[in-house]
Amino acid sequence: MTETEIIKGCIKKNQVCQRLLFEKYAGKMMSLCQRYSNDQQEAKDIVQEGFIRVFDFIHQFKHEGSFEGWLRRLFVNVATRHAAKRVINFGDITVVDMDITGIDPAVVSKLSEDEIHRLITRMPEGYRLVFNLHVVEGYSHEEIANLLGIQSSTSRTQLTKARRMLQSLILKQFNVVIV
Amino acid sequence: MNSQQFDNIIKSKSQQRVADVPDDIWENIIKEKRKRRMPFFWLILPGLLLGGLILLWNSYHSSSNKTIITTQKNEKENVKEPDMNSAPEITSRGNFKTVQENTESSTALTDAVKKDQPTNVVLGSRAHYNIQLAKTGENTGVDIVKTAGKYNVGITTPGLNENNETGLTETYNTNMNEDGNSFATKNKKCSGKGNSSILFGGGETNSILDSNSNKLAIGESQPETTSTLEELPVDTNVVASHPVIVKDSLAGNRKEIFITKKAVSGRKQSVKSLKVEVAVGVVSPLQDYTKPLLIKRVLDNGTVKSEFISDQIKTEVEPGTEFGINIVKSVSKQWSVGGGINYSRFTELFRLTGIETRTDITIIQRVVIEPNGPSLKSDTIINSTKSNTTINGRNIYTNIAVPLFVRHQFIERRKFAFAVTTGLYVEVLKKYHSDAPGKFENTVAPGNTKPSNNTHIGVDVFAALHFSGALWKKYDWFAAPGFRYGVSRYNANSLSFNKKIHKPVFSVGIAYRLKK
Repeated sequence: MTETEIIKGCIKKNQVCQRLLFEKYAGKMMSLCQRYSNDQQEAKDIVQEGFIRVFDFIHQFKHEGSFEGWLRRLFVNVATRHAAKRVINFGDITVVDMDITGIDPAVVSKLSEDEIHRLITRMPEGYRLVFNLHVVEGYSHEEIANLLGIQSSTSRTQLTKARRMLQSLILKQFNVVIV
Repeated sequence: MNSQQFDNIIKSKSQQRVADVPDDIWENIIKEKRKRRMPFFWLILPGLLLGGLILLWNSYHSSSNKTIITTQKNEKENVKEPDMNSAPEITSRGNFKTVQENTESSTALTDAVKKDQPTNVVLGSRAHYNIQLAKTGENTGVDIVKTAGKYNVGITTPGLNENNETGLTETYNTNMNEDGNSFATKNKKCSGKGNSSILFGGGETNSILDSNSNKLAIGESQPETTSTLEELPVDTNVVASHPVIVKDSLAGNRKEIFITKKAVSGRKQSVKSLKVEVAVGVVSPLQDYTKPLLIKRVLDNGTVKSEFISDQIKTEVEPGTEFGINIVKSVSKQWSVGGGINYSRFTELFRLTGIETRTDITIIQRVVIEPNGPSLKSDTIINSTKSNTTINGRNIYTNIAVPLFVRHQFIERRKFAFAVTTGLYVEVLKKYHSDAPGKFENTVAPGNTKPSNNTHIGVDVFAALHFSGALWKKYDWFAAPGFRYGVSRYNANSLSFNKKIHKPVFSVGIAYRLKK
């Protein structure tokens, strides 16, 4: 069954198609939700709610652009709404200042997907949200500001610090010595 | 390495990552979807109940207002002017004729009634007449007396018949009206000449309410008069606001006055009414389910093992029957509530076509010559065959339910009434029996829940039309086409496919009025 057929089936509320769609994207969406949530249970709740919304609103997908992109945006919306229920600290976190310009791209490339995921989830929530939205999902700072109810300048600052923190975590993790 | 390079690597790695998905997420999604669908059904019911309550409240409210207004009006003016224009036509009955209308006679009559004097009326008068409320000091005459919030025509002095006996040979109650005057209501039929005749003597004007036959006669007669008064049907709950028709007739020295309520309905529902309904019906069930992908049956008796897998499943529910007994209590003139017990049973024919793998296990012993002598050794011969098999079977569904309902009567006529009934069937026992041997297991499509073996209760929401009419004495007939929407599923076992069964029903029956 092609993706288009599955989508058409989902629009017709066909449960088999819905299941196929779920099986196809659940892993990726679970990963996305884990990056935005504080624990596994919350990630599960977001995935659950996200797929219910997908099945309810799939008829709004216009077949312009990739379906996965549409799906990701929908899940990001659900995840950020969940996150907005919590008090998120967008303040400064002390990060050991490191010069990251010297990191060899090969070192980062060698990191597995799971390792990167683990490092991202170690960042404070404010950093993590902005980092995920901007770097991974490609949201602009204005969009992030709207989504999270913060200033776009805050978003920029948080991103810079988040990036620096993640890099320092990578360096620490793998005992990379910059010479 | 600049930020852009770093971001790109992180982005691509993050987006490629696929996490493990906990097994229960899909089931939770399905459950949640069902939960979100459910409010639709549950919103209908409170809506109906709320609507019913509002109507009920309105009907009570408007009824009590009417009574108050009427009471005040009647206290102001004792006798109302006759309104000839709206007088309904009265047909001839026996030796009583409707002659020309005469307003004067009617006034004379009412005056006479009021003054407790022998009535002098002109032959054949007919007019509207408003019954007065009883007042302090008025212990005779045609009065409306109020008991338990209802207005009844009362009498203060029982009349005598031609043998100088009281016209009421049966027991009658003497009560006090709201102003302290006594009145009597008869409990059983009067004695007297003729059929259900009532005679009132002494020139007194009396009235009587026959609570047994629901007929009212009001009249005046001399003791020596032995004529029969015709009883006319009236509602037992005569209220002061209802105009009544007075028909006067004079034959010889006999003066008889008949009073009956305008537009009498023989089938009008009393607030006190209580009836038992016994119904038998035909159920033509409809299935609502997702077919399992596969059904599997394994039979194993040690030597023969059979595994049957069917992917062609055909089921058909046949019409069944239902029986019910309900008690219906009216709570207002239009609304009633009821409950009872209902038994229904229907069958389902199914055909499973698939491949059966039969394995015969035979153990044989053979003699083996060994160096230390012959010995017996066991060998197992396994013979496996595959064949196309069809299993035809029958499932029997038996349900015992407790119906709880409200009924609103829209139309009431002398011959028939029409109502709408709605409520719930709380299924207290859903039994399921299959005559196909062996235990079946089904493989359901993704997202469908497998049935469990322990759900034998459920709820149907139902609505029905209810036509009824008088049959004989206290018996009414009724016919009720309706629909029971199965909210809960049959989770009886694997062959019930976790299905909902909706039940279009056509019931007919007999109702017996315990109280009118």
